Order: sequence, then structure tokens, then C-alpha cells
Amino acid sequence: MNFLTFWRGVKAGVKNFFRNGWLSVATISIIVLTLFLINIVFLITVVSNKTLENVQDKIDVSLYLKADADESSIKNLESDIKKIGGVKDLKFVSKEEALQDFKEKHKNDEIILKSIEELGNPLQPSFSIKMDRPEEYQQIFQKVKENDIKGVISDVDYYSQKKPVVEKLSEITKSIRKIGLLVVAIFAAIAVLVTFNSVRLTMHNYRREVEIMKLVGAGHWFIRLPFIVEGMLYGFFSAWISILIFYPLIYFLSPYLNRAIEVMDIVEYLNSNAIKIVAIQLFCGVFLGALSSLIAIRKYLKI
Amino acid sequence: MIHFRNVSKIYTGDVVALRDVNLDIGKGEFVSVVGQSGTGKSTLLKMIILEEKPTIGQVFFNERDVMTIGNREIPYYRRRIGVVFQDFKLIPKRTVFENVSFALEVAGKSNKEIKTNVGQILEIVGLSEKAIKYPTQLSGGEQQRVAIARALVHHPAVLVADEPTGNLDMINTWEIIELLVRINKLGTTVLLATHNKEMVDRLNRRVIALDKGNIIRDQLEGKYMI
Repeated sequence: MNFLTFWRGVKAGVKNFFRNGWLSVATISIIVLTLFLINIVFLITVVSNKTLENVQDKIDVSLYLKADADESSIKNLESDIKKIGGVKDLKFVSKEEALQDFKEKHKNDEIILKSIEELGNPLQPSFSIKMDRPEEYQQIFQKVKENDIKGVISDVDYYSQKKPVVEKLSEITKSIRKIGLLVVAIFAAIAVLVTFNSVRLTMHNYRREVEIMKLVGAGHWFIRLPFIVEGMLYGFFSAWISILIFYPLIYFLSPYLNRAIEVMDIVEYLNSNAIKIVAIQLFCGVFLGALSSLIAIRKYLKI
Repeated sequence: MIHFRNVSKIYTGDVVALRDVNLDIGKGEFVSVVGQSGTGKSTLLKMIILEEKPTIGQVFFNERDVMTIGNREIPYYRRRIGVVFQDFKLIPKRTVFENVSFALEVAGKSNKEIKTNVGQILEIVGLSEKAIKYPTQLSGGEQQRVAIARALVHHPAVLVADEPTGNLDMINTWEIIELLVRINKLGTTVLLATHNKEMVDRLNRRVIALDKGNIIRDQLEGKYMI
């Protein structure tokens, strides 16, 4: 196919698009609706993921060291832990800092404060560890314990206290992610089917035209190109329209949304990811439109 | 130029459309194929434009067996033949000019060539002034003339017309036939399928009569007789 033929195909597609008038409008509205639904589902997924991240962030596990552990062993242990992947945050808390924290926490409780002063400083230095994924805690503590030849580690509050919480949380995270993915997949499938069907209906109008094209000796790509261009235009306009509905709607609803969703600012999220969202939307729309018409027109190419 | 050798066409369900047809059509001839509806006239023409393939036998176009033309070659092959149908087959959303120029766009001709050629052919069929009209704004006769213009604009060697006047009144019918005769005089081979007796009798050209898929008569200056 030379450039002239290509250019003519593109031009014919654009012309068809505008000459189709109401049919184009109908097809676009359906694609807009599905893209819009996908946007909503996508946003719900983002918010629920953010909520989970927030909860996970609040969990940290302490690795208690023996009170007499010397500095070099502590340094060694620290670099050992850092070597293990998946550690999000690692903080060393010395005996003195631990005491400070303790006093701060119980500053209203006279009895506890008094008794701790009598005892001196019974607290142990510790590492407070945060992992990317909660299910990794168990592994990391096993590894650390294996490496601890000198025996500086005295205790981990993981097994006794936090394990059930962490496990429950990672279970919830996993199932929410799975459900989210499933819902997005279902909606995407619906979008593809609906788009495909409405483009196919539009293309049904062209069966005569295709027949004529073939009879005057048009090659297959010469026939396909205008339809692909038309399909892409459907996707292109639908994507923009769906964005132009979605963004203002969220802005308008943002005061209510922000009250309901505390973990994140949705408008801020949409703004900082605007280019990505628009690009993905356009790509999906255009790709979907082109693919639908390509498949739809195949049926009529067999003469 | 066109040769049929022992051609039979059997559709699914044992419907025989053509039975052992042998036929030679020379360059520049004007041939009418006549017969009742369903006697295989259209099948015969469809084989020439490769819309149908023979079940048995061979069809040659310019000494080449059309069965050897591959799918990719078919578009190029069809550009050497002009086709006109009873129902005109115009694209309603394109103007007269666009409907005609389409046949040249398909062949990748330049815009300049298209403009000159379409202008000329519209003048021949007498529709220069209606170039920017849409098919629905034209009469049946005019629509058929647009279809003929489209079929001829790329200067095909053969014009195949399948009942081109079937939807037209007497006056328009004669206009179309006169046009076909004029085109034939300019050197294009014309193949006309029809069951219009009066028209065939007045043409006084070669007539091939079909009945139930068989050629029952082939006369050089024939009349419509079955």
C-alpha cells in the first residue's frame, strides 16, 4: 500500500465518521458509558488499595536485643537485615530512647512512672522493622535468627503478639486485590463486548459498500483502512468525552468524597496522574475501536 | 478473449446453474445473454468477475485460466472488468463524482488523473451537471448511468452488465442501451444479461440463449427466442 492509498483510506474513514451522524453518536455514547464505568471501578480499586496500604503502614514489628549487646554486633545485625529484601523501614531504638518513649506513653500514670524509676532502665534496645508485604515478616525473622551467631537477639514480639494480626491483614489484602482485579477484568470484558457489538452494528451498514468496493477491485487493506480509522475515531472521541465527564464529576463530588475517604485526596491523585489516566484511556479507546471494526469487517470481506 | 470450456456450476443441494457450457467471446463483441430468471445468466457473468467459480471446467480470460488467479490478485484482475447491476450498487453516502472516482482511487490513481477521467466519463454518460448530487437525488436511469460511468472509468476491456435495465422504465431503458452500444463502438467488449425481449430484438447483435443451465442457441445477429 503506497502513501496515497493510505492517505485516502484515512480520509475516507474520517468522512464516514462524520457522515454517519447519529450512528456515530450512538456508538460513542455506549463506549463512553463503558469507559466511564471502568473509571469508577478503577477509582474504587485505587482507594481500597490505598486504605490497605495505610493499615499496613501502621504495623511494625520489634526485634529486641539483649541489654548487653555491643555496638559492633548491633551494626552487623543491622547490615544483615538490610541485606534481606522487602524491608521498607528499619529503625534502631536504643535503651534510652525506649525509656523515653515509654515515659511519654505513660506520662499520666504515676504508679508506672514511679516503679520504672525504681527499677532503673529495664528496657531493651530494639530494631523496629516495617516490611513491604506483611506475609514476609515470618521469613525475615527466621533469616535473622539463623544469622545471629553471637546471640544478640533476645526476643521478637512477632510470634506472640502480632502474628495473628499480620496474617489476618495479609489475607484481607490478598482477597481484596483479587476481587478488585476480577471486577476490573469483568468490566473490561463487558466494555470490549459492548463496544465490539455496537461497532459491528455500525459496520453492518457498510456491507453493501464493502461488496461494491470488492467488485471494483479494491484490495483488502484498502477496504479495511477506512473502517479501522472510523473505529479509532469512535475510541478517540469516547475517551475524551468520558474524561470530560469523569473529572468534573469528581471535582464536584470532592468535598463529599474527601469526608468519606480519609486515606487519600482523590482530586490530588487524579491531578497528579492525569497524563497517565488520559493516555491509558485514549490508548484503550482507540485500540478497542480499531480492533472491534477490524473483527467486524472481516465477515463482509468474504466475497 | 473470454472462453468457457465445459463449464458446469452446481450449487449446494444439487442445484445445477450451468451445464457443460462452451463459449467464446471475442474482443469488441456485444453479446446478450438471454433466458428466464434462474437459468444461469447471472452465474455465467459472476464467473467472469470471479464472484463464483466453476464446479467443473475452465474459464479463460485473455488466455489465462481464472482459477489460477490467487486471492491477492483478484482485486487487480477485477480492475480490468467493469460491472453494472440491476440495483445499481451505488454508495448512498457518496456523491456522483465520488462514486465514480472511487473505482480509480482503488487503483491508486493520482488526484489529477481522477479529475480528468471522471470528468470525461461523466460527460459521456451525460451527468456532468449532477456530479455533486447524491444517488438518492437522482432518477433510476441516472443512477444506472452513474454505475456505468463507474464501471467504465478505468477503461476496462470488458463491461459486464447484469440486467442493467431491470428496474427502469422504457425511456430510461433505451437510454441505457444506447449508451452501452456507444461504449461498445469505442472498443469495449459488452456482455449483457437480460430478459427484455424487445431490447434484444432491436439490438440485433449476438444472442446466447440459456435454458436450465444449457446454451440452447448462439446466434450472431439473434433475436430473443427461447
